[in-house]
Amino acid sequence: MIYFDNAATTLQKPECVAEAVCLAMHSLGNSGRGAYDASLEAVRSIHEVREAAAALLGASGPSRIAFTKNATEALNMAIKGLAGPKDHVITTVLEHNSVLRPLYELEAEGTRLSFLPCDSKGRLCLEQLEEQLGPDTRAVVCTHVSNLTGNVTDAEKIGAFCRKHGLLFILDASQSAGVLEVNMERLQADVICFTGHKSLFGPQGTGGLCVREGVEFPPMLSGGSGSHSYDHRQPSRMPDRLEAGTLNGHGLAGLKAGIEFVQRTGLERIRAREQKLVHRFCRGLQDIREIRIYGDVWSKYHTGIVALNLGDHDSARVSDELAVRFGIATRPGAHCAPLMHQALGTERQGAVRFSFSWFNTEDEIDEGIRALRQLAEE
Amino acid sequence: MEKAGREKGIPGRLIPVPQDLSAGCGFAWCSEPKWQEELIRLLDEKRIEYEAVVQRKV
Repeated sequence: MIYFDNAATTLQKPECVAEAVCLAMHSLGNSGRGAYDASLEAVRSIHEVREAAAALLGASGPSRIAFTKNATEALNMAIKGLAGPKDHVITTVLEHNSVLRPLYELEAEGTRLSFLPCDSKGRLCLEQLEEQLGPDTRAVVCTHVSNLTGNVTDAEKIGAFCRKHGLLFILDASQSAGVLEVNMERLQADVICFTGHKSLFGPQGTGGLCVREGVEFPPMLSGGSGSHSYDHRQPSRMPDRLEAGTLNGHGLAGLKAGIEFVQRTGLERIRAREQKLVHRFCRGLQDIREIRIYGDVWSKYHTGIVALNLGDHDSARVSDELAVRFGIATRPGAHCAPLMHQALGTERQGAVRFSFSWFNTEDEIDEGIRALRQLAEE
Repeated sequence: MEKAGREKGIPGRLIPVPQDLSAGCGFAWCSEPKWQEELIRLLDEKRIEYEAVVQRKV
């Protein structure tokens, strides 16, 4: 199989990730529940993941990282914890449902929402940010990279806008962590939500939030914390505040190995590699008249994703043909980004998304081009 | 704390919080009294959050 669904989850991981999970499963107890070796090993292991994530995301310290099971959980916690019924929140049409659905739930309780539009290539109209500002604006929530087009949002500009107007900035780094520099200070973000199983090459079931010092919101879950057992409330101290219950210590050990792989390899190299694959792929498709590519694929503000359609064919059918006849894994249909599809006019047809990773090869890209060419000729 | 203590050469280990210090659960760092001042300096320097520093007989 040729795997081109890395924006959903990376399938090919560095060997060290599975090894770390396996070792953890054989050696770690429950973190913070005892002072015997196996429990302390779990404490140490999780602390090291925190340190690695804090360094990657530019947090002021490891305690500013709280782990969750994925970016969706992190986004729900941050969005629902920081915006209330009397607030106005600015978001964008690029968003994934993990941002949109929590916001729609808030909207049902009175929160006012505004959506920053995009142009025909799916690029955000950032010049309209100021127009959306109101006296009740509390926060901007946006994705760093569109999961459909791969376009990169100018998060630095949005961060500066938020700082200027005293707004909170919640960044969804699901598609960017591990590919782009995601630095809390440089982007002036207040909360960065990330997932472990995509470009950080960690196991599924890992993710988290990086929360700026001074930014506080109530926990979504309450329960065991390994401290302050007689308090009726979840401890107020980070990260215990946002981490009720046993953490996925085994998975997080794998995430640490993934982050270390990314750091060793270098974000610049990873990004350059993905862009090279995208350009090779798009160049190879240029003369196929029936292919329609979405997104700003030739721009430097773009990652390893290419969404396309073949004539008017159902994207589900194209993706299925690619899988069954050519052994190529892609994702069709809507991509949990309904407003992005509306903006691109692909609500009905959906789109076939090819998403590449560090581990894809030029030969695989060429196979993808050949398969699409053959389907177009048929 | 464990890592910071090791880097500074301050001996000690993590233990379950003794009942007479705090009814509940969690960890305490256990070290000889002669390290107290240096430990507090280290906690402040590394911005390690703690609740109290106490001396007790073991």
